[in-house]
Amino acid sequence: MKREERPYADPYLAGVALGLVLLASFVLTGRGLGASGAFAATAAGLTNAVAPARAAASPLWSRYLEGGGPWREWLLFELAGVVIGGFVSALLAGRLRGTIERGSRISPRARIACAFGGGALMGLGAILARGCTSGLALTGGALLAVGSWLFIAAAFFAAYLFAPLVRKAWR
Amino acid sequence: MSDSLFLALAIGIAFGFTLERAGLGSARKLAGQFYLTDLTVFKVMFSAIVTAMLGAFWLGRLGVLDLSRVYVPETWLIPQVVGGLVFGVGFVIAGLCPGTSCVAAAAGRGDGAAVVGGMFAGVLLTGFFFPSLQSLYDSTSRGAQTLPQLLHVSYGVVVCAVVAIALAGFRAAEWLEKRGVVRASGAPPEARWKRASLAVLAVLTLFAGSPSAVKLDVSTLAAEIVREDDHVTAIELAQWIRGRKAGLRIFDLRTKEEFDEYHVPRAKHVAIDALVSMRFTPADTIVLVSDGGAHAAQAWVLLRASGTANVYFLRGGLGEWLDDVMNPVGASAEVAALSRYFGGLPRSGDASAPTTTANTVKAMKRRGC
Repeated sequence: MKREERPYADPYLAGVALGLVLLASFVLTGRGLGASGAFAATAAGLTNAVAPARAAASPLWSRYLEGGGPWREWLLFELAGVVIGGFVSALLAGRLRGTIERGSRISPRARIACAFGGGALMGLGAILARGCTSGLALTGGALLAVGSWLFIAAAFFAAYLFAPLVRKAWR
Repeated sequence: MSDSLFLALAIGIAFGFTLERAGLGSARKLAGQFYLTDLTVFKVMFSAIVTAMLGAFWLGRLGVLDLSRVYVPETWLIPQVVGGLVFGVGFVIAGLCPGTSCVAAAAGRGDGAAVVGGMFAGVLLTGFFFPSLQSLYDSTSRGAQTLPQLLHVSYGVVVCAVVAIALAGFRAAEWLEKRGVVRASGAPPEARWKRASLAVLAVLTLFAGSPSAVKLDVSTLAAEIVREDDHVTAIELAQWIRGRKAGLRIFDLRTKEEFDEYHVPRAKHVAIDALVSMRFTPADTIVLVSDGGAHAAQAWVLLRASGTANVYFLRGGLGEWLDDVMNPVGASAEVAALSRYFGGLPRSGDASAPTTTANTVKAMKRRGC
């Protein structure tokens, strides 16, 4: 079955829809959206499985071991939902296909290396900042948190500054 | 799966679905933001922020949403600037952020899966080297500070300003697209009235001031005080601690020095001004402890007036704790057992020669509030 790929939604409309999802989260759960926290919970869970003493001693991981433990973390279920929602949307729009998206001047292997390296840097950044584009920028931005707007400014500033150096990857 | 986790999954599905619809599962589209070839990221992100911000404000104003119960991300100045810079570099190299990488991976993109893997490796490695990062991580905390608090203006003014900036940004984006500097994303802005209604809503917030519909209801608070629902005794508190009561949070309002010298087990030190800007969830049970009862009782009024539920103060302050739990005289077997659990010295009958601990206790009590 081959569906025709449908165009993306209007960005303003999609943005309003995203804002309503965020608002629903505020009203129904008293918290916003997130992503990097789920990675941290997974890291805490794995560290705890391999070296429980180490996980309990880590100020970074120990907080995920309280309550129901790292595998019952709210954000883990939310991010699982993101994967499902993204999959369903791509399927319905005929955009589901195995591919490596890259600029025309970069090899697939180099693109994967960039993706992995960039991801690792974001991992470091998200831990230091206590959140990422979802949990800190989007959620905290809507709640007017000072740190969220600082993070947005710093991240966009660095990305624009660094962009010319990796222009080749995106041409 | 509990209700809350089911809700998490449902909200996540809606989140992932919208991100994919917007095209944010595409790395080239996201990276286009940083080369000004595609402004989708800016448009989606700021439309979302403006929508949720205005929605939260007006639902708060109408009493549907209690904004003081919504968790606000904490501000840590230096770690968030440094983290933001590192994150931004990673973002432009990877072309995806943590949330969108999951969407990209779910849509079958190998680069999305690589970002997910890299992100996870980065988080694990950071955990490994965390001891050398901790002083940076723990520096310059500002708590749940918001822009209105920082700028000393009303919440409505900041909301209005953010909407104005976003509208100006959208206009600039379309100007760039019209000039052919940037490839147009989405339909042209034919619906002017949508913008106008957004602007009207924003201007209204300017005059609405606060997003809180909660007014200090004095009679309700007075009734709670009459019913003695406002405090706990030291024995009750001790039973809560020993019984590991769920959601119990004990705050000691005395000075740091006094706290360091002695405090109720599991208590955390906090100053009153910091306490009132803290966020609590309905699942929390808050117990306030001061030297006598006065400071704690004042803090009780402040927290209750700002809509926090399940707040109690320790009736007789730390003195009552020391008398009734740590050094009970002629206590029942049950209370004596409770006392011993906390390392106290229950004595039978009339007061015999004061012990060393009792002397320390008396010395501490003499210092007063």
